[in-house]
Amino acid sequence: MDRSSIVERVLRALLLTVIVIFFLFPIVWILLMSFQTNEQILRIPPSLSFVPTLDNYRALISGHLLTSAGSLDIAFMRNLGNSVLLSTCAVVLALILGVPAAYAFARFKFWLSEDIAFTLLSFRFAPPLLVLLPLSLYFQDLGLVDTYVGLIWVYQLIALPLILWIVRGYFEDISPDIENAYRIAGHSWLRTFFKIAVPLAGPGIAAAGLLSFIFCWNNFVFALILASADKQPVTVGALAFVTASGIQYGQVASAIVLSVTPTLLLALYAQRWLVEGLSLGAVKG
Amino acid sequence: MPNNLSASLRQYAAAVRVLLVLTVLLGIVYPLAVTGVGQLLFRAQANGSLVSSGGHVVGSGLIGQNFTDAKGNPLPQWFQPRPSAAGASGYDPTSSSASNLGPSDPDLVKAIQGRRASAAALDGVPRLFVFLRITLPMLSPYIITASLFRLLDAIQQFDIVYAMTQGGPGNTLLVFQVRAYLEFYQYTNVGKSAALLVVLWAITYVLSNIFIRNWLRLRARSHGTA
Repeated sequence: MDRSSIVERVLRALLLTVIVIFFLFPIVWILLMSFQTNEQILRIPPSLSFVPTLDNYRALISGHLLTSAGSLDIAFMRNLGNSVLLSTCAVVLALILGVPAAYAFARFKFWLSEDIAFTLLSFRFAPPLLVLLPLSLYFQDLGLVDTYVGLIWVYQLIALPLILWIVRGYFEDISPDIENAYRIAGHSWLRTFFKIAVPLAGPGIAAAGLLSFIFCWNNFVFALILASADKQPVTVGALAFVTASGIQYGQVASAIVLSVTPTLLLALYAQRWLVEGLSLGAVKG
Repeated sequence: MPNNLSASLRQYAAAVRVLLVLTVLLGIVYPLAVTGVGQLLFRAQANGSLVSSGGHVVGSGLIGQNFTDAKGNPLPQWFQPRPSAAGASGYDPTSSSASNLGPSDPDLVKAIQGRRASAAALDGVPRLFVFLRITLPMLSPYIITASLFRLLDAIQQFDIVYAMTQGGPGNTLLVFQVRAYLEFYQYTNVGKSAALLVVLWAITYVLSNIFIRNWLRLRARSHGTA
């Protein structure tokens, strides 16, 4: 029963419009910037009328950046490839390690189980540099600095706690009776885990994996400290556009558009699972 | 032997007489008498305390029912009875039991919380009041959790500040982690950098403890164990 008056409805529509503009404005603005030259972007006052150019995207894809001070070689497409490789491998590894661990925390009560789970979660809240600065010294001794293996290992600090706690919540929501019924038929707990628990928690595992992928993709500080230019993901690679002759806003904008697109498409595709996964993570753990 | 037979027959005859008399008395006379007294002295109550409106019987004064329109929306001109779980759709007089849900059952808690706002709205409570007194208190644990989560992220901010200004102009944006990073890599002042990070860790430890305790409480509540 909608008893709201016309004034209320108009106010609500206005408020919603303001909120939508607030959130969409940066995305639209960046998209417009990516089709403009630096001169068009920096003109005062800014104008919405311009002749669109694909030079920024062309420069990114060819890796040859032309600035007012000269030309510059950039490896943006390599950075994009690094982002895909690092995020995918980190999430796959975190799923392999995290899903069985989450099952163990959900089903078995063992000595210090809650403390171990809490410690793993606390990595999510610790300042990244607190771990990274000492780790960078040890990584130099181990030869893991500026390697994909080292980065994927460190990315577990982001992916593993997230997967562990979200998937644990999903496993706790599945009734153990279903698994017990399967085990009574003589199957081992390992078989029960793969045949019953994992398929039932499938949507939760997918949501946790997607969330972890997005968090890994957006990470900046790990690669900044532990990787050089040829191993860096897009988030750090975008710093290359801050050149001696100024910031190349057009290229920065097109780089952002290109780097945001995969995660945006992924988020839109899996919106329902993501929301469910987030709420489970926040409330049910 | 004949004496025993006649004694048995007498007993059977007595039993049959009692049966007949009680059948007539309790099966016919007593119900008729009670019905007659009821109809004479307590006619309305005896007929089910029926409620009429516009010449039509619309319900009973003793049995709750929904006062809703065809779409199931409550009609504000009628007093709304308390919710019923009797029968499939509630208010079923032939169903003798309600729900078996305990006071901490998550389904019941959720159902009650869901009804509070709509009940208040039906009683004419202003929307702002409903929001401030019902919706906001119900959301407060989630708001606190989300705020603490974002607060933790804000205190640990590094990416945007470093990428945009590297802590400048001057030292106006030297937040914890940017300063620690610059101390470590730019000034090679490892000890100071470590000290800054330990202080930051202490702050985040306290905040995250509050956050996680709140989170576990919400989790326990959603599982119906608190």
